[in-house]
Amino acid sequence: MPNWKIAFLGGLAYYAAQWIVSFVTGPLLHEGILVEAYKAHAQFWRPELNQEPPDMAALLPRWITWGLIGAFISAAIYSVLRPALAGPGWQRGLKFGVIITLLHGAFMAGWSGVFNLPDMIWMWWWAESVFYFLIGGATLGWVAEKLAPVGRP
Amino acid sequence: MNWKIVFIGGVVFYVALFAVSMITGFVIHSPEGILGAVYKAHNSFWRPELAMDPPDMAAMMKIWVPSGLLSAFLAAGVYSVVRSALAGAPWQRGLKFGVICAVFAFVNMLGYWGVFNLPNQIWAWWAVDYTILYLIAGSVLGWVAHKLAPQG
Repeated sequence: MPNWKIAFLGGLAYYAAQWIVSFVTGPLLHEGILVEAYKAHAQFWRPELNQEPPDMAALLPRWITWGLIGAFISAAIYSVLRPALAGPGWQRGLKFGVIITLLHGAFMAGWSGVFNLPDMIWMWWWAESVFYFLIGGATLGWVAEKLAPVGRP
Repeated sequence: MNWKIVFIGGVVFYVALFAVSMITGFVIHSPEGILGAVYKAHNSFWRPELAMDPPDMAAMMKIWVPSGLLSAFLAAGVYSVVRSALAGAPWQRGLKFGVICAVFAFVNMLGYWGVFNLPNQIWAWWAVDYTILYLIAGSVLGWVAHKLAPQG
């Protein structure tokens, strides 16, 4: 059974860490390196993203709600799997981040096989996810160990 | 990491996914299937080989099989590391891993759902599809992994 303290408080910390990382990767990738590629594939994006400037206020409620739900679910899974991962809290979390990065890459390989988007977009999205999951995972592991040390009920 | 599970378990995991996808592919993704008309209405989203009539599946398989196999090896490798945290009979551990994969795939999909301009119907059926795929293939992986390297 998942540890609900880790699922909710750990999930919140995991989400906050990823949110902070996005302040660096957002301007660098999504408002920088990939802008031209995004413009060339405008038919892919939600109408709010195709506005000039993009209507982020309209999308953020959806992104935050589902981002938080995704973070709670990920943290709940971490609370189940962490006994199989060795090391101090942050290292267990980092290993969990590596696992999610690998699975995320596998899923992305599937999506890239059907969507007509250039490899450049997939590569940069995956590169960004490495930072999200490794930093988010290490943070989650550290917080989870504070909330409920492994081996104690 | 147990390399026997990675490679042999990975191949078995992939074969199970492939076999089940023969059924879900026909029911959900084929031109006559549930999503056939929706796919046609969003033709610009798909790789040119898929947008052809009929789709050039032979060309797609050259991309899908290698990337699918690589992904299956990764998934089996992850399973060999985390299976000690999952309780139950081998197939049950595998089933739980399948649930974890399906849940992560759902979380992953939420990200794309938030930016891609595709109808919810597509995302919902894709979620149904990979839940079926991962639950069955996960159980098979759990069973095979135990035969290859029983958990102490």
